[in-house]
Amino acid sequence: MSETASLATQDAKSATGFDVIVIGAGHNGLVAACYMQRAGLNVAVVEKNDWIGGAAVSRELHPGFLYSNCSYVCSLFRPEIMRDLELPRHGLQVIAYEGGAVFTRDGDYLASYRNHHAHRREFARFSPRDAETYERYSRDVTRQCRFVQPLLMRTAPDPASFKPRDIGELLYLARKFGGLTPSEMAQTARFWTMSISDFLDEYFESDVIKAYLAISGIIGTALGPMSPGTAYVLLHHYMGEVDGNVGAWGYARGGMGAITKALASSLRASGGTILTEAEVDKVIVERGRATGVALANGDELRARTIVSNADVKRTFLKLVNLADLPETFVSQVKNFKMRGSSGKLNIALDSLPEFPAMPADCPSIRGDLHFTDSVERMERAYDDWKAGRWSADPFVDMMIPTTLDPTMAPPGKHFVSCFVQYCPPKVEGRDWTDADRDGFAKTVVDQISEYSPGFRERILHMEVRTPREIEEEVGLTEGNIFQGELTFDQLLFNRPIPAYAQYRSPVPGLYMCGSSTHPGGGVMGAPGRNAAFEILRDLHKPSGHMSPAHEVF
Amino acid sequence: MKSFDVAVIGAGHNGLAAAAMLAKSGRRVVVLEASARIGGLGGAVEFAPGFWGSLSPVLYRLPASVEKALDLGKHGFKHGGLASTVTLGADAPAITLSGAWGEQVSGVSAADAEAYAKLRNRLLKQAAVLGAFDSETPIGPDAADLGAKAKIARVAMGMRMSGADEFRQFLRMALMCVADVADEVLEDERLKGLIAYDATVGIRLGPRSPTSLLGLYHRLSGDSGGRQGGMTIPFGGMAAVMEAFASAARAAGADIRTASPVARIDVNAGTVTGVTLAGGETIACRTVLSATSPLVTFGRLLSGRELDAGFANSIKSLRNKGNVSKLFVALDRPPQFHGERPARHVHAPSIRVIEDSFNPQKYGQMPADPPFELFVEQPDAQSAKQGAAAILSISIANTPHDLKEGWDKGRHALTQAVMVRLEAASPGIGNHVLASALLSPVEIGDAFGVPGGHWHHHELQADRLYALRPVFGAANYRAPVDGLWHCGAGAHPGGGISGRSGLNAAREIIAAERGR
Repeated sequence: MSETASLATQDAKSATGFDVIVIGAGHNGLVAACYMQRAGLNVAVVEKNDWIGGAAVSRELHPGFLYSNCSYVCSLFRPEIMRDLELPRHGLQVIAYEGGAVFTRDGDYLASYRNHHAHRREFARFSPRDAETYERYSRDVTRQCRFVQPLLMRTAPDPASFKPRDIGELLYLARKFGGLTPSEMAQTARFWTMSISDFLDEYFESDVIKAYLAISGIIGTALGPMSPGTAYVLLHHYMGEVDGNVGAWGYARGGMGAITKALASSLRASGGTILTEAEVDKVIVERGRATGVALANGDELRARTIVSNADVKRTFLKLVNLADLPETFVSQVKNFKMRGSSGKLNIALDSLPEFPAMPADCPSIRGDLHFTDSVERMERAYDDWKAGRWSADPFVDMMIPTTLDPTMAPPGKHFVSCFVQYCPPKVEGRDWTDADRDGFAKTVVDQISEYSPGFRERILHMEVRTPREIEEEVGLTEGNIFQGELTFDQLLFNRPIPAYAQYRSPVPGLYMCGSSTHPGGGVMGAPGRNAAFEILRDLHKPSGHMSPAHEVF
Repeated sequence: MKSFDVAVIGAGHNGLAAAAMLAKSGRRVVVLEASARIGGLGGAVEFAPGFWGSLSPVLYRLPASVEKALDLGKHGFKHGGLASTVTLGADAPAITLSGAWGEQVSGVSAADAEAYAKLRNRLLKQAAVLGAFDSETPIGPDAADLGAKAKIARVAMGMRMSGADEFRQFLRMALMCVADVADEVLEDERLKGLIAYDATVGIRLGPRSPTSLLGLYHRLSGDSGGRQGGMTIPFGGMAAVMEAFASAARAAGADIRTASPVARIDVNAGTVTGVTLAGGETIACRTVLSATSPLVTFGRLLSGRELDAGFANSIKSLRNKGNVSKLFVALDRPPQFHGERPARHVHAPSIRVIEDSFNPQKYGQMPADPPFELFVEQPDAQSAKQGAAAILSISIANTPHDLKEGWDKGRHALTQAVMVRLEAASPGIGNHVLASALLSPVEIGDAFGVPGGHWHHHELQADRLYALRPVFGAANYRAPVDGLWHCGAGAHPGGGISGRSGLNAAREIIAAERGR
C-alpha cells in the first residue's frame, strides 16, 4: 500500500480543520467516514499501520502472492452500504463460492453445491431422510434471518429508557415479533437460545451433515457447537448474502483488502482524508468533552467529534484516560468478554493441492473445505480451548481463493487461507511463544496433509497468526475477530455495554463504530453505518443518503 | 364399580397436589400409581435389603402458599431447619454458606464475603422476578392470551421501576453462563465452585455454557421454610413429605391406588374417555390428568394417531437423558465432616473441576472427578434396626445416562471416585459402611418410570421454559386431545418438589370445566 503512505504524508501536512476524526481504518471506520463525509463533514481517518484495512486487508507477504491476512469471506457486507457508497464503481467485485466439501475420516466427502438440487442429492447420498428434512430446515432458518436481518441496520433501543425514540423502537420490535404467528414466536425464542447441536439434532440424523451445518454456529466464537446460543451465531453468519442470495458466501476479487480499498477510494472521491502511520496515543478530553487525538509521534489533531473503530477495551482502557470515565463504566468495559478463539494460516503453495477423496474436476475445491466430520470432534476441539490449549484436532475452514481469482498468485500457484478453531488468547495462562505458534501451525498442516498428501511439500511460504499476532498487528484485543463475543449478554442493547449500546460513550463527542457495537463482527459494515447515523443525528446533519435495510424474500 | 370424574396418572408430588385440589372441588378423583409406593422421584428407596434413603432428600421449592393450599401441616408435614452448604474436603477452614443460600458466609476473604453478599442479593431479586411466574399458567397457543401478556408486562414494568441499572443488569445477565457471572465479582475458586454447582446440577450444561445462570435462578426462585433460596431437610425424610401430600389428597376424597400402572389413555373421536390399566381394567372418566413424564404421556400412553406429526416430533426431540446418579451409603456411625448441622456438603472445588467433569459426559464418558452433593439423613426405623446411624444420600453430577462403556463397568469406578473424596474428608469412613448402592440415571429412570432418569423429566433449559415447556402449544397444561391434561416436572415450572405444576393444572381444569 505504498500509494496510501505517500498520499498520507501529503495529507498530514494540510491536516487542519477536520470536523471528525475516525480512529482506525478498518472497514467499519471507513464506512462511518464515508457516510459522514458525504453528509458534508470533513472527515479524517487515522491509521496506525502503514496500510489500511484493519482486518479486511490483502497484503503481499511473499513475492507475487496477495494474502487475505485476516478475514477471508465476503458475505455479510451489507449490500445497502455497497450501493450507497458506490463500492462497485470503486472496484469491489464479489464472487460467490462454488460450494465446498467436508472430508470424512473414512475417505469420503460431503460436497456442497450452490445448486439447491445438486446439494440435496448430495445430502441424500448420506441420508435420504436428511435430504428431505433439508427443505424444512432451510425454510425455518431463512424465516429466522428474515426476522433478524432488518435489525442489523437499526440502532438498538435502550429498554430501560423512557425516551420516545427508545419506546418507539421497542414498539417496532414488539410489533415485528407480534407479527409472527404464535408458533413462529416459539420457534424464534428457541432458536435464539439453543445450541446449534441440539437444533440440528431436531432435524438431521447424519453426523457429517450436522457437522457441515454446525460450522457457521462456531466460527469466530469462543463457544462449542453444544453451547446454547450457537444457533444464533449460525444466523449471524447466514445473514449475509451474495447477489441477493441470502446465506451465500462470497469472495472479494483481489482479496478482502478489495473491500477496504474500495471504501478508501470512495472516501477520497468524496473529499475525505486518510492518514496512515498515524497511531493514536490518547483521545484528548477537555472539560469532559472529546476534542481531538494525540498521536504517538507527538502531533495533535483536533475535531469536535472523535469516532473509534478500535474495540471497546482498546478504546476505553488504552486510548482514554480512565479518570475521564465513570468508574462503573470502566468496570463494565473490563468485564466485556472478548476472548479470542481462532487463528489463521495463510499459505502460498507452488501448485494446487490434491484431495484424493474428491474427483479431480469437482467444483467443490473452489469453496470452503473442512476436515471435521462430526459435531463431537468440533466440541472436543472446543474443550481444548477451554483448558487453554489450541485444539489437538482443530476445526479448519480452508479456502483456496486463487481457484476463483487467479490474479492473487503467479500463474499455476495458489494462495490458501486456513481459518482455524480453536486457538486461545493465552496458552495455559501464559503468553504465546514462537514455539507455541509453530506447534499450532504444525497441528493444522498435519491435519490438512492427512486429506491432501504432499500438501506440506507444496508450501512456499506460510504466515501463522495466533490471537497474539492478530492483537499486535490489527489491534483486536485478545485476538477476538468479532471485537467481542456474540453471546446474548453482548448482543443488541447489551452490546457492548448496557446503556451505551447506541454508539455514544460517556464522553460527549466520543463515539464507537467498531464491531464491539451492535450488530457485531464480520465484515458487515453495519456498525460503522449505524454509528454514522447516530453521529449525523447528533450533529443535525442530513442522513437521506443512507438507505434503510431492504426486505428479505 | 365406583365411577370417577378424573383419573390422575402418577402419585408424585404434582399428581397428589392436583388430586387434592380436584377432589376438594367436588370431583371424584382416582390417582393411579404404577409402582407399589407413592411419591415418585420424591419417594423413599430401599437401596439395599432393609436400608432406605431419599432419592430427593431436600426441599428448596416448597413455599408457604403450597403448604397452605394443601394444608400440609395438618397432614403431618414439618420443615427441618435451614440447611447450610459446606465445602467437602480436608482443607480447613471449610466455606460455609449458612441461612438461606449463604446469608452468612464464612471461610472466605472479607472482600469475597462482601462481593458474595452483593451478588446474592442481586441474584435473589432477579430469580424472584422469574419465580413470580411459577404459579402462573404459561401462554398457550392462543395468541390472544391477554391475561398472561399483561402479567409479563406488569412484572417487566415492576422490574424497571426498581431502577434502570438493575433492570439493565438483569437483561444482560439472564442468559449468561454462571462462570462469567461468578468470575466478574469473586476471587475464591471454591466459592465460585459452590455457585456453579448449584447452577448446573441436574441440567446438561457446564458452568461455561451460556444460559447456565438460569439453573441458578431456578434453584433460587423458590423458597422453602419461608425463605427465598432456603433449603430444608424435612423431618422423616422426603417420604414423610409425600405422605403428607397423599394424606391431603385422601382427606379431600381422592382414591390413591398403587401398583396400578396405566397402559393407555383411551380416546374416542378426539375426546378422552378414560384410561385402561395394564391389568385390563378400564376406568371411564371425562378428564385425565397425566402427572408423569411428557415422553410417557404423549409417547407411550397416547396412541400416535391422536397427535399431529409436528407435535409428536417435538415430544420425540425432548432432551430427556439425565446425568445425575445417586449413591446411598448406610453408616454405623455419623460421618465427621466440617461444619454445622443440618448441612449439605458439596464437592465442587472450582469451576474448572465442574467444567472438566462436564466435558466427558457430553460424549458418554465418565468423568474422573465428578462434583457431588451429600446429605446426611436420619435413618428410618427399619434402617436403624439394622444398625444404621446415618444414611448418606449423594447426588453425583455429570454422570451420563448413555455411558458408552456401560453402567455395569462405570458403576464401580464412579463409586470409588466418590468414596475417595469421602475418605479424604472423613478419614476412616470406609470402615463404617454397612451397605451402599449406586443408582445410575438409567436405573432411576427404570425404577421411577421416568425415561432418561432426568431430574426435570427433560432438560430445563432456556428453550424449554415457560410457554416452551414441555413443547409450545401444550405449556398451559392442556394436551391436544379434549379432556386430557398434563403436569409434572416436564411442564412449567419444572422440577423440585413443590406440587406447583399440579396445582396450576388443577386450577386450569377447574376453570375450563366450569359451566360444562
